[in-house]
Amino acid sequence: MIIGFILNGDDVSARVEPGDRLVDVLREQFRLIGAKAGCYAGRCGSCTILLDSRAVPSCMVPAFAARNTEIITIEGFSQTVDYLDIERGFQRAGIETCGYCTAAKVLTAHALLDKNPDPDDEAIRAALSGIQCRCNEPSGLVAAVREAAVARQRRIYGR
Amino acid sequence: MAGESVFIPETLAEFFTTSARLPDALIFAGGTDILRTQAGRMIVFPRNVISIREIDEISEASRTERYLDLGAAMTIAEVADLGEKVVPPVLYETLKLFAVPGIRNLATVGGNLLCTERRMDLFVPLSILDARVEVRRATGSRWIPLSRLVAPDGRIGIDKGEIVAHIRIPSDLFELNLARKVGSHHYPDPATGVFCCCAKTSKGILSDFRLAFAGERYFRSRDIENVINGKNLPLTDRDVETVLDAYREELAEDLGPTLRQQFVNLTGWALSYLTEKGYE
Ligand code: FES
Ligand code: FES
Repeated sequence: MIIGFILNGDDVSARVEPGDRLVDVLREQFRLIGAKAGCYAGRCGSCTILLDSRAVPSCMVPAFAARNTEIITIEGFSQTVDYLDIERGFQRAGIETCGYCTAAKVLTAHALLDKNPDPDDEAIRAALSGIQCRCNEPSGLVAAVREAAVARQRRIYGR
Repeated sequence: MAGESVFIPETLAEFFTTSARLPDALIFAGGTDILRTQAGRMIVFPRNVISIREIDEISEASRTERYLDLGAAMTIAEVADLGEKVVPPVLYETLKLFAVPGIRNLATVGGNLLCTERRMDLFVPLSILDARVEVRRATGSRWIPLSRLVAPDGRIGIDKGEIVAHIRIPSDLFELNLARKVGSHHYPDPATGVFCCCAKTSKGILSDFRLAFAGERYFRSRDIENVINGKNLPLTDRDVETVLDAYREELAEDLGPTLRQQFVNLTGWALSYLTEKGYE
């Protein structure tokens, strides 16, 4: 079947099979390889994208379910001003990244700050709980998101 | 995968037309329960799939003074977003324990309730809140208690051509609202279970005590609840022991030893809120 959706701001269409997973369609048909296909079972979070502004594991979405939705991948998000806040926060907290779960961490942090501009540590931990990152301690990631929240508040409110 | 077809109705009327033509089609909502058990590259679906994700009539919540109606195709995150002032506290607490956030953004209320292998997270709070379920068919609708939606042996209480449309939760106020999850918080396994308890008091008396637990088995005993209902507050140690003994006995065959002990511990914890120590 052919489905239409918005991908990183553009109207696109894709020919998909019922059994296709969204992560594979994004990677193979659109060459958007920032979302990684890891466990294919919703466990590692490495395939995270924003689907209608919510961070979801794209391996858990059949491609047909993307019809009429708006999808943002890390490639699209990294072109936005919102991305700069997250990048700054991660840099300030000294987050090292091998790249495997970068999309997941960045998009999840953004989705959280979008809903809750000043999250406490518990909310940050909960938001990141679906991402299995082997390169960073959870406490470092919490600090990074806190820094990103500060960077965003500064940019928006000048404080 | 050749030969599989996906249909995506946008209204209930379209859904009923399609499902009349394809009575054996798989009804697809969030799909998390289907996909989490398939770690292969391609998802294996039956021949025909009807996706209900685009049907607005069952994707929204509404509220009156007497109840809150949840659309069955609402995601767990969408229900949580209604906020703790709207969602009954025991349900709200359970939503926070549900899987990981990314899955909450996909899993739906109806899909979670209709899981046949095990009673999933939402079944417990919704059952003690006495929720009812609207089952729609092409010619009308009927309301059934949640307990009739999925029988203990996993049989689904809706017929072909019917769909779960809404879940209606009465607007009851409980003073005590507790929810806990045991086993893996993130992914269901045999040791995972959800425990919920809520209670009302009136003039120093425990007037309405409800408690349920579910994992691979669902357990609620109105008989035991009635043993404690009507007791003066705070409860005495003897009251608590009587109830715990009753649960121990009743559960002897129902749950394995570990889950049974966890259930009894959680019940003791919940009851402690109603004793002198926890009540004041
Ligand atoms: S590949 Fe999607 S969560 Fe692991
Ligand atoms: S940055 Fe390497 S696994 Fe997360």
